[in-house]
Parts: sequence; C-alpha cells; structure tokens
Amino acid sequence: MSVVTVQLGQCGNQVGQELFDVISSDTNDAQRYRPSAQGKTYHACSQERFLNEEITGELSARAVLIDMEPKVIAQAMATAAKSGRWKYGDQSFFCQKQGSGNNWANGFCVHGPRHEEAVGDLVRREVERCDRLAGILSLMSVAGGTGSGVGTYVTQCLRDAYPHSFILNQLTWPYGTGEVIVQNYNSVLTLSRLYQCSDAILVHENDAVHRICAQLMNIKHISFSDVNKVIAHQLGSVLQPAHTADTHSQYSRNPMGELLSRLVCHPEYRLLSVCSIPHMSSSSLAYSAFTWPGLLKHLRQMLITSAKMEEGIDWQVRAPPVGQGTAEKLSGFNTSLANLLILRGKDVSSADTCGFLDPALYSPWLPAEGAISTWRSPLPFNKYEKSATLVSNSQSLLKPLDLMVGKAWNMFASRAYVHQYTKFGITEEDFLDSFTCLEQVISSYRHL
Amino acid sequence: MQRGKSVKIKEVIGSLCKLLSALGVDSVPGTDTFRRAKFNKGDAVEDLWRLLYSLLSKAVLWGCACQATKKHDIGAQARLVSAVLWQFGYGAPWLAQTRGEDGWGEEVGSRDLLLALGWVISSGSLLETLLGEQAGGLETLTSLPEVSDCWPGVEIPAGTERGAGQCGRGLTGKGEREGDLRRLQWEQGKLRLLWRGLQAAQAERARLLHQVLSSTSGPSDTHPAAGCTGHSKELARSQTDIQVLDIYLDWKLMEPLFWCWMDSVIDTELAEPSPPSHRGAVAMALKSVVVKGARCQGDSGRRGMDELSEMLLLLQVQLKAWQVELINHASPSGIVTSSPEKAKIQERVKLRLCSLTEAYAPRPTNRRHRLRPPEHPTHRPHRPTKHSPSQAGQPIEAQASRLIKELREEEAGLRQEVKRLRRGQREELQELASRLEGVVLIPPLN
Repeated sequence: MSVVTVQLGQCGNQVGQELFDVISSDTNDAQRYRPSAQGKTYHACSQERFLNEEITGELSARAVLIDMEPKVIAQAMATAAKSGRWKYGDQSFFCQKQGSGNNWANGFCVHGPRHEEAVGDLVRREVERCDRLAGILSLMSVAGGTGSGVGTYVTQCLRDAYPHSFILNQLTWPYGTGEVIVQNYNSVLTLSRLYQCSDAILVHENDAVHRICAQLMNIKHISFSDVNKVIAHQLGSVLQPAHTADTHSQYSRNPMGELLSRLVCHPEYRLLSVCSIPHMSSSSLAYSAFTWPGLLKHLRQMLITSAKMEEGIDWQVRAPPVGQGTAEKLSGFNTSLANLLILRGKDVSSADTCGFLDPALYSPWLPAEGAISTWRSPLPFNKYEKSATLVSNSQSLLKPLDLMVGKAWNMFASRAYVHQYTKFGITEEDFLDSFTCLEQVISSYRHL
Repeated sequence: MQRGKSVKIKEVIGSLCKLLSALGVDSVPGTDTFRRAKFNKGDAVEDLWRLLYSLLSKAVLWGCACQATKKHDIGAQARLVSAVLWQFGYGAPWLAQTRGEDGWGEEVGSRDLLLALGWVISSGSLLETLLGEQAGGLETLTSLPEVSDCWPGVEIPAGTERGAGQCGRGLTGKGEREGDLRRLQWEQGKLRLLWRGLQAAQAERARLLHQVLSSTSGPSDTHPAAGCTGHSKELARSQTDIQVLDIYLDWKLMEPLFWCWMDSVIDTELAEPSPPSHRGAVAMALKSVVVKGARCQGDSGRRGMDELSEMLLLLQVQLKAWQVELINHASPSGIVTSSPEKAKIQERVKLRLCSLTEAYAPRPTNRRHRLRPPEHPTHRPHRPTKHSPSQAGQPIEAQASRLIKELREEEAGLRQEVKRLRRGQREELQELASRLEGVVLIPPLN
C-alpha cells in the first residue's frame, strides 16, 4: 500500500521535499535505534508507503513534482539527492518556463488544461508502480497561482481519473497579513472547488506555524524552510505507520482510508486541522521529559480552545455540560465533529485517552465513541521521545475561513481585480458560486 | 407509401411486443390486436385493458388495497387503469366521461385504449426505467444518467403513497430529524469510504495473485472456469440481460416508425369519429382542449405551442367535418357542382392556417433588433386577409423610426458603459499607485 504525493507549485514542492526528508530520516532512525523486528517492520512499512526501490537500489520518492517554473523543482531535487538517503525520480517532474503570476485563473484555465495530459501520465506512472494505491496526497498552497490554480485543476482531473481512490489535499493557508493582494480570491476559488472533488482538505495556517517556530522552537530569523519543516513534522506524524483500532498490533495497510473514514464521512464537513505536541528546538530536545497525561491534558485544552500550540492556552475554557443546545455553547469553545489522535513514542500503550471521550466535545448528532479514534506507534517519531498529534474535523477553521471569505467578498463587491480573472475565463458567476459554496460550509460548521 | 409502411408496421409492433414481454410485462397481445385497435374493433378492447393494467402495475407502486384486484376481473382492472391514467394527467375525453360514472366504460373503444397506451409509453422514460430494473446487474446501466423511478414531469398527487410519506416527514420535530439525517449521511459516507478501501484491497489482491500466477505457472491453460456453477449462473444472467438490451435496441431502431403509425391512428380517429357516445369530432376536440387546459401541467413556454397545435387540430377537424358533411348531404352531382365552393373553403382555411402559422412561428431571437410590428400578432387572423398587402407600408415605416430610437438608446447605454469602465480603470490605477508608494506588508521571514 502506497501513497502517491503530488507536489504543486512553490509551496507544495518545498513542503513535499521537507516531508520526504522527515519521513526518510525517521524511518532510518527507527531501523538504526531499534534493530528489533519492531523497527524493521516500521521501516519496511514506511518505505513501501512513500518510497520506490529503484533497480540500482536507490530509494526514490513516490512523488510527482509540478510547477510552472523550474527553479523550485530543481532546488528540491538537488536537496533530496544531497541527503544521500533518498531522491526524486529522474523523470517524475513537470515544469515550464513561465509561472502563473499568482493568477489563479491563469493556472486553472490555461496552464492546467494545457498540461493535463503530461501531468496525468506522470501520476499514472507513479500509481502503476504501487501494488496498492492507498491514496493520493496533494500538497499545495491555497492562495498562489500555480499551486492553487493548477493544483485545483489537477485535483479535479485526478478525481476523474481515480474516482474510487482517496484524495487528500494538504493546503497551506497564507499569512493573514497578506503575501499576495488577491490571495483571498485565490483561496475562495480553490477551496470551493476542492470541496467538491477532494475527500478531505487538511489545512496548515502559516500564521500558526510561524508562531510555533518563533515561540516554541526559538528560531530568531524564521525562513520558509523552518515553517515547512514544522508542517512536514506534523504531516509525517499523521502519515507514518501506526497501529489503528482496526489493525491492532499490525501497521495499517489502509492509512488514508482509515484516516478519512474516521474524520470526513459527511460531505459538508471536509476541513481538517492538525496540531502536535510537543514542538521544540533539537538542542533542547535531549533535556526534556514528558509524560503522557501531561501531553494529553495540554492537547485536549488545545483542542477545545482551538489553539495550535501549547503555549498561552486559555485554561478558562471548559466543555459545556452535555445536553445544552448549540446556541448556549460558551464562546471560545471549539466543537468537534470527529478527532483522530495519533500517539507515538515510549510507553504509548499506557497513555489514557479518555479525556477525549467526553460527549461534550462533540456535536450532538454524532456520539463520542464514533467521533474519536486513536492510532498508536511504540516508536519515537522524528527524535521526539513522546509525541501526540491531533487531526481534527472541528470548528477551528471556521474563524480564518470566515475572515478570508469576508475579505474576498469586500473586494468582490467593488469588483477589484475581477477583470484579471474574467480575461482567462473565470466569470463573475463562478465567483458567486464559490462564495455560495463556502458560505454553506461556514454555516454548516457554525451550527455544528 | 402507405402500403410500404403497413408492410413494415407488423415488424415494428412486433418489436415493441417483444420488448414488453422481455421487460416482464404480462399479457402482451399479438401484433394483430394493435392493427384491429387502430380500426376500433371491439374485440381488441379486453386485450388492451389487460396490457395497460400489467404495464401500469409495473410502473406504479400500488397501495395494498389495490393489490387485492383479482387477476381476471377485467372490470376492476379497467377501473384501476382509468384511475391511474387520470391521476397521471392523461386527459382524454373518454376518461373524463367515465370518471363520473360507476361503470368501467364498456363503451370505450379499442382505439382510445391504443392511444392511451401510446401516451403511457411516451410519457417520461417508462421503458428505460423498466429496462434499468430488469438489467440492473449490468454495470453500464448503473452508470446511465438518471434512470428515475417515477415519471418525470408528472407530479404525483399528494394522495398517493410517496406524497403521503413526504407530508408526514414535515410534521415531526425538525431539529431531531436533522440530527438523525446528518448521522445517517455520516454513516453512509463512512460506508462509501470503507467500500473504497475494500476495493483497493481487492485490486491489490488481484494484482499480487496475478504476479504469483505469472511467476509460478507457465503459459499453460489452467483456468478452472468450466465447472463453477456461480460463473455459469452469472453468465446466464448476463446473457439474458444482453438479450433484453438487444431487444430494446431493436425497438429503439423501430420506434420512429411506431410513432408514425400512431400518428396514423390519430388521423384515423380524427377522420372517423366513430364512438357513438361522442357527438362529433369538433365537439370532442373542443372538449379535449377544455380538459387538457384544466389539467395542463406543462411549463408556460410550451403552452403557446400547445395552443397553436390544438387550434390547428381544431381547424383540421372542422375542415374534415365539412368534407364529411358535403359528402353526406350532397348528391354525387352536387359534389361536382360544389367543387369550386369547396376549393374556396379550402383556400380560406389554408389562408387562415397560413396566417396562424405565421403568427405563431418562432422568430429568430438572436438578433437584437427584430423587425416586428408593434401590435400583438394574435389579432391578425381575425383581420380580412386581403387587406394585409395594402397595409404593408405603414408598419415598416414605424419600424424604421423605432429602430433608430432603439439604436440611440443603445448608443447612450454603451457610452455610459465606457464611462463606467474608464472610471473603474482610473480607480484601479490609483490603487496600484498607492500600493507602490505605501508600505508593502511582507511577512517577517525570508
């Protein structure tokens, strides 16, 4: 069972490269420090999931790199080759000379359709090399030109080509302060379309990750690489092998399917957010000790306050007593639809997760037993002795989504920059449809 | 031409009969019944009632009370069929008449029933629906776009089973229902995802099995397919499915001819208004207009078209009635002498028909400036036709001035649009400029 990763645009390619880096180093560590059968199966499972063994014995990522500019792809491939542990396939990239210029419509209406066949062939080749396709993971930014425009188009094509496969989109949400003036338009268009064709949308907010880098990891001059490393750490901890409820003491053969069937069964609720604990700089890692109850207590509070890191959590917020209607829910309380808890590290079997079984955390129509599931792996992940990651389908993305749609709507009301989209074939009706779709999503989550 | 058609028509009807039997409709009569029904022979009546009954019982979910209908009680079957036809909006005059009465309408002619059968077959996609049910095992059919289980375009009245179910739902507690519904949707989505996982597992197994087989065994043929009963059953089932599909395709090829023949049935019906209960073709046509008008469920766009065709039908019927009158009431010599008169009448009717067709003919609407007289076209038929050429000059003049006015208006509109666009551009330029001078918010990293 293997996951094919599709890296789209600058952001997607950088995150993808970091992800494979984390995975390969973690896998190697497992084999090195745990030469027992345990480490070997973990290593083998992870390798089958993410890497191809070439005839030469080299390991190449099960990934396709797509960008409209050659620079980032070349960089990613060079960095990967330099690691000595893994590389990208020599033929598994597609790039052009000219970017989409941050114009979503250019990517979606021009570049996407033009290169549909070439990209489709690349993905198909990767898929055919898998004994079993566990799913397709596509990495992209939500607001850029190539990443989001071409990425959305490619995701639609993938859905057509693989109607029964699992497709998980990882989106990097832009800084609220703005990288691109039209980022809110791009986000609205991307999200509304992905909502129709993707199985789940896993969102990382740049702002939140940036704060983690600044406050938890004590990085002075934060670069994109630092941000991407954190994203890759969180993604890796979700995607690396783990024992699930269905598989008991074996590693899951169907990671993507189990993830999705735990979290995103309802078509109106497809937004996932991730938070991990702990995060710290590698230098202080050796001097820290954590206990499972402490980690889980923090994680639970992070969940109900929808905080993305353990520092500065509001401990005043509590789950409301069961039986109250949604209207009386306390402000600042984050209602979940479903949660997936992934615990990795020492003594993981002793970790008690009953704090997450509280029915008050969940929507009234889905009982808590069906809404929470736990994956465990006894191996430490990415040098952390103990770590816990929570993938949550909850209201935590409601606020940023609402803000983004609101900003985009204000711009749209004065028709600012709309002509840049209409000239490539995205009409005002398309915009309106997207707004309608996202308003529906917002309303669904609000009334959870 | 008529001769050639009638030679072929047996085949056409034969293919329909074959299809109906293949679809599991009981008591399909022979092709001859259809021919006899065209000429309104009484002995075809019972066969057609049976056929209608079994066809409708395939299409409609009876309530439990109706199921008790005895197999051989033709009267009850006929009543049921009439009721169903009426419910679904078939507005033939005989239905309107028999509804009020207690009897099941022995006086209904077989041609009426044949027409009703044609209506049933042509309503929605009944045959396709039945085909979808019959050959549901075939994958190609499951992906057919929307094989609906109810006749599209026909609203089922609230008294029937489905309607009652929907009414009941609206009454109970809304919030709780909504929660249940979401829960149900969630579980359904979960099942769908699990199914996909299973499918992937199956694909993997097949792939690995193939690898094992191809590496262990040589090219020798070791397929154990022959003795497997499951396989042969499956084979037989798909063969019958394919047979049904073949028959359906045959019918599809023949279908246009069948409807041509049905047209001829309608023509015969109009030419010889034979049923004794109806007073005459004109009266019947008029009645049908009234009945259809009252139960019209079509959209407003088609209503005009329907009115036109009904009016044409009426005129044709009148024309034919005059002909019949002339034949009946004049001596053979009279026909000869009155032929100029007849020609005159025919010419008058033709003129009226022409003007009607003109008035209702669809005009090209893609041009913005249509040359159309300002008055409503429906008044035209009532004007003496010979006056129209002399009046031709005036409307054109009026149109020219109108046209100029319209063009001026358009010009003004376009100018305003240009102005608006200019303003927009200017604002945008300003915004761009301000952005260049001001502080650009760049994220603190990189």
